[in-house]
Amino acid sequence: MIAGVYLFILVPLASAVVLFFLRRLQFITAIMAASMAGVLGVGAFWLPLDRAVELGGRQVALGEPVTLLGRQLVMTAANRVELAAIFLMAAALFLLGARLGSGQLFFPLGMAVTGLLSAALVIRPFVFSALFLTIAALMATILFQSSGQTRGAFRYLVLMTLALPAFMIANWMIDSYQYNPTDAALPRSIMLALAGGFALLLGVVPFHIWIRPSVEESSPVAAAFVLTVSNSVNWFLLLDVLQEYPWLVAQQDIFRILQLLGLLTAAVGAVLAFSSSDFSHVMGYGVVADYGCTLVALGTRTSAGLSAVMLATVARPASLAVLALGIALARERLGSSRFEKLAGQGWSNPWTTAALTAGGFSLAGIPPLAGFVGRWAQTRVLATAMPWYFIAVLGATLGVAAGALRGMDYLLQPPPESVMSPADRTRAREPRLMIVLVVLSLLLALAFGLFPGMIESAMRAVVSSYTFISTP
Amino acid sequence: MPTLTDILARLAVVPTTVALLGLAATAGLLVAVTDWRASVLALAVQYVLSGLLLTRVIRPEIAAIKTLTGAMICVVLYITARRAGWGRLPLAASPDEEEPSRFMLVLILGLPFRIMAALMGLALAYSAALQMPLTNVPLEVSFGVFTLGLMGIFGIAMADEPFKGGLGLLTVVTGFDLFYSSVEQSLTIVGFMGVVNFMIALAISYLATAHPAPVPEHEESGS
Repeated sequence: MIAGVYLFILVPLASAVVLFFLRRLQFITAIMAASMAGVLGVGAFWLPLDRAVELGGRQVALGEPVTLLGRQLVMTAANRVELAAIFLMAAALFLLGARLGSGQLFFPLGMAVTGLLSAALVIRPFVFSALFLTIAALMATILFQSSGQTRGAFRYLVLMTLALPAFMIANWMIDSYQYNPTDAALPRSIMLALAGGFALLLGVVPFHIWIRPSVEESSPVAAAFVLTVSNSVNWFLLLDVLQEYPWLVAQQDIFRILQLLGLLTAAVGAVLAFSSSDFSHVMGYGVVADYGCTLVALGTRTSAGLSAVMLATVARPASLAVLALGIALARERLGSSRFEKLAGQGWSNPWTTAALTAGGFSLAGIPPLAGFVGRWAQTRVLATAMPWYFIAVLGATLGVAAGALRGMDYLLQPPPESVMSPADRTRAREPRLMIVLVVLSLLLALAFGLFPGMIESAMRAVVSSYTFISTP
Repeated sequence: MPTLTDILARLAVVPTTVALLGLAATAGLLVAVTDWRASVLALAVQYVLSGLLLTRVIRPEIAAIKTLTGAMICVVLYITARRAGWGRLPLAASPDEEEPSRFMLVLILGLPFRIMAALMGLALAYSAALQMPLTNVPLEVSFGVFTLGLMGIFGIAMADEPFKGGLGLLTVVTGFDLFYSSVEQSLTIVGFMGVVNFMIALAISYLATAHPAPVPEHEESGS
């Protein structure tokens, strides 16, 4: 019998090796990586957790716990949905990467990172999750670098590595606390270590400094991969830690700290997104603002708040995929994604314009696009419970939307006057495959925004499996 | 032929004070010096000295493994630095222009500022180790941890490219490892920390190779 957890760790790692050797055949490796990630994503949803099924003549038991080097690998009901989410996100981004010049190493490294992230999700205790996350982040550092600019990648490397000591110290103190439960100082120190570690991992202000340069310097799809696939696992790990140590939630006001950090992050992200002069800055700071709003919603410690976190985590990739497509098209055709360089280009590049503005608005949470689902859930939770925080989240939405709107204003300026021959005009048209990708991603973003019910049952299953939110 | 464990066991007679002073000196060098050869050499000596300190709190075999991992990291960084051409300085704007004097070069590289920063870091580490000694570890290890941690952070903050910054990051991780190995001696963790250290070195190598190395302006214009 094969334990299901192995499938989600070893298959991506093994296929990463194969993809590495085939990396020159970029289109083929993209399709292979997308198919593999897609199959694993669907498998995580489809395979039953409580019994074994036969696959290719072998019994596969998804929920079978495994012990490896004395550590347990367990797949819970929440983990399976989370795994499905990260593999499906990765599959979609691999498909986009086939056309968007994401670099030869994107597919093998992306698969390896996804396998390591799966291991981080299912291994216990959490110190090993932190170790796997760090190794995955070190690999992802290479994804971030594509143009000889290394500022963002290096900052990411430093901040993700510095999170590891915080988690290891927290784990050591948790072990000590089990032997000294009367020590009143330990829970506070544990809470501070964990809050510090997660602040580093989640890109909370002031540890957001890697996000903007990374988006600016790397391929937009690679940036979207790290900002969605890798980052969502950080969120899931935070929820798992809160679930695993209920005394930490009960005794320490960790939610208050997370909420204050979220508030600061949302405000800073919104202001910086508003003052952006480049669509890659809108993407970077828009994500920062979104992370902040999500933390504020989690801080309410309600099931509605947790649902808002989940919806935002699932909707974010759809928004970022559209915006990444737009930025990639702008860089490819116009040489830059800076507002001033795009002035008047909206008329001759309508699909690029559509992707840039719709992606920006979706990230801001403007209806009826994907980002609205998460933002609407957040505002509903906060409007009744914490009106001041509601205003902050609304401000974050407006700040990011205003940044995208300023970009749109440049794009829709009167076009520069030029005499073009019919042949030049044909060459200047946007590539058909890119148009198809833009249309598909826009439809996906609209579908998420208009029919959020299609992911509701899966979200409900995840939310109901976390009991820490009902702890008094 | 003596094994690495034997060598470490023989070196264990080195007084702790000497090992600590050596750690402070190497960490200070990593902050103050911009030359890659001196930096990689300082890092290698730092790994040996932290291995020596570790023999006071963990089994010499495990300390030897950590030192060996450090040595491998230094080899990776040495090869990277050579290939990436670090250490070449943009000395003169053109072949006709006179190269700056040694004194000017010291000022251009910000050596006085770096030395001041390193001394300040050492003073901070010393007072932190005395004022807030770490629980469950001897005072000398506390001093080593604070020295490496603070100097590593200074190194990262003052670096303007991934190679030097990476050496700072590795110094921080070595400092943390010195503390964590004293309180948690699981072999699995030792193995994982080795992998993490090695992966950091590989990531630094990749970024250092990708980062454009400083090229003398006359060479740049000539090519």
